[in-house]
Amino acid sequence: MINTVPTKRVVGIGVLSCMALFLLSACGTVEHKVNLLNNFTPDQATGVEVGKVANETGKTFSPGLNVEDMLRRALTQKLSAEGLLSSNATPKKLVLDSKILDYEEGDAFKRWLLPGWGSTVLTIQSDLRQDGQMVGTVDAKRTVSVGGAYTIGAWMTVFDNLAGDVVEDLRSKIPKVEPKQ
Amino acid sequence: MFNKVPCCTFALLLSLAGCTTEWAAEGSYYRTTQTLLDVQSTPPGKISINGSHKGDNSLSIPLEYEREVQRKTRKVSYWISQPGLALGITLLSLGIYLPFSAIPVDVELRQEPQSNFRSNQFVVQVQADGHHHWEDTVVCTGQDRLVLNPVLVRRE
Repeated sequence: MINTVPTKRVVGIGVLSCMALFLLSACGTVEHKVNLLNNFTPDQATGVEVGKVANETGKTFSPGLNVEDMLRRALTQKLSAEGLLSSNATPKKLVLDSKILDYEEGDAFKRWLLPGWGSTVLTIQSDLRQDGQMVGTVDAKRTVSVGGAYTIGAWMTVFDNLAGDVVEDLRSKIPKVEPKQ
Repeated sequence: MFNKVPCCTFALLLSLAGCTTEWAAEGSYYRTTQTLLDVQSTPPGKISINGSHKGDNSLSIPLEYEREVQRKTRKVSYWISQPGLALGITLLSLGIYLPFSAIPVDVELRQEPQSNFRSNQFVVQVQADGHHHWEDTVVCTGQDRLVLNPVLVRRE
């Protein structure tokens, strides 16, 4: 009797932690990398322009769901926030042509019922071009496969998160201009 | 009794690692590929590719074309895709997550290059004064580098 109380408490804490984790967390895969070809090094203050975005999933989405536009907007927004978006002031320009290889809207309720069911998936592949010549490639993937209420809207936020990953990788390759003192 | 615990855990983890689905084809797409072309002619001349002048004397230029890539996916458990996370959740949940971790929740992607190519033929021409034009069609099939050393024939 004396020993069962702490055991129950431990199990209870475990169950509660597990439930909290499943309810609150948005678990999934995050993979992204930029590969620059032939030792290409971008110049300082190079800007990035969002080029063509193509749907290569082989799927047709509902008329209200324009995946190409969602990716283009997310990339533009993240590049702008990072100060990487190409403008008239940027001396050099890289063009990011992207292909959406896989997109699954998923369903937060299904994910909550059974992890892995109703996963949200977004996979893209992009070519980086300078003056029409391919100088690098980008591969990025995000999934939201486990989670509850917290993952509602992942079908939309997955574009922002993936664009953030891509821009983070580009930032690491393009030297930042230090402000003049 | 305590000696059995690590063995049981190991056996359980081994069985969980097998909780995956078969690879399933998810269609294909064409990915841009490059082959570096080196041209050094004798005698040196003007080098054109597909009718567009690219350089004089010698040339080293990447040729761009497209290669078909097959996408395959399978469902895997976090023990395969993110073992650190799976271990973390197991520890945080005091082991209660362990039986549930067998569920193949994550999607693993594999990209397999195929032997189908698009826009992979290039006409290389070399012109030098007093010599016949030299022309050849290069077919790129995923090589890293192609070297051409044309010898131009002198005009009579």
